[in-house]
Amino acid sequence: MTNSFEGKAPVSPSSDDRLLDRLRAVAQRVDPPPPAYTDFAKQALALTRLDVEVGRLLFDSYQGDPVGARGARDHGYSATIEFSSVTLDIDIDIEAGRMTGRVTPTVAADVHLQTDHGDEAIQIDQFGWFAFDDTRSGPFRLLIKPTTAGDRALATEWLLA
Amino acid sequence: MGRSDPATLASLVGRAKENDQHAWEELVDRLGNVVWAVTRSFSLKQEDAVDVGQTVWLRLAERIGDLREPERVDAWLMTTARFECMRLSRSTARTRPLDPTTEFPRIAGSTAESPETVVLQEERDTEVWRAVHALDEPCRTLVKLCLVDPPLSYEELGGLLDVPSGTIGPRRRRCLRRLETELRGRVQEDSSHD
Repeated sequence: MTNSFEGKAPVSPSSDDRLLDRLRAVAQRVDPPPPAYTDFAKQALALTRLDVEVGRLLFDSYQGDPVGARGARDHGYSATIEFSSVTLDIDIDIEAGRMTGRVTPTVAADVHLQTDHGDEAIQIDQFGWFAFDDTRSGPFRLLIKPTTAGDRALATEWLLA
Repeated sequence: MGRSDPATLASLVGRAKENDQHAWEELVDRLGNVVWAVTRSFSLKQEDAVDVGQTVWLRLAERIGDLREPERVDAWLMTTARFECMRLSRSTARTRPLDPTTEFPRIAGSTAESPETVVLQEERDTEVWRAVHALDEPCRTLVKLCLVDPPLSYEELGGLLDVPSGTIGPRRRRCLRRLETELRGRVQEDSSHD
């Protein structure tokens, strides 16, 4: 089998460029952007626009354990937010497809788990806990809608489960 | 397609900010392959790379109004992709070296080519891709980032790899020599079977 990589000619910058051109062509044939990625990316703008007015909740800290210490995709997010007149802490933990979260202090609210597949809502319990079973991996965000009139809903930024 | 000049990018960002779906899709058309190439330079499974890519575009959609330098949205996307990849690499036990034979879908060749040519090309491509993946880090990531089309500048590569851009040239040369050695070894292994 002839192969252009066998050449033993002295190395010059242009031969590096030729090699990279060849590799680039291989990469495009072997590993092009899949439709699941590009199609979703084109929908992203519409997905981030909500029909309700919400505050943005940015997670500034991330709890990740060293590789191997936990199972696949086990990780968490946490953030402190100003929620109307009170300050809330929210923690999310993702372990083996189950997402658990806690809001402290407790607040009367519904939590919506939004993905590109839909929207699932549950009520935060009296201790501030909420949980979603069988979450699939991929982008998601939470929408926290207080049941008290006058409190604005909050959406988390899009996170990766 | 080129990543386009800063003025075009800034104008597309400006229109997308105003909910112009056309402008948004053009951004994805122009920059989607860059983001993809960055996510693929990390040792993530393909499905994880898809998740990261999707998240990166959602982030941009959310923050498009806050971009300080809309003309540098390409750099913003690459940095965000790198950050998300590193975060996922840390958080998942599934990170592992890729097996190109199972990890990449076979791409059908052009219909103008005979089936034999297509098969030969696929075999050669897989062998070359294996050689790239056989490289140790940091060479594997560097070489894969060098494959972004159109090519990234040394400054962009330096930013993504978190090393001074002046060191990219020598690093790239060193890694390509290793790759050539790897490729030669594979060719010899092949001929020993004949």
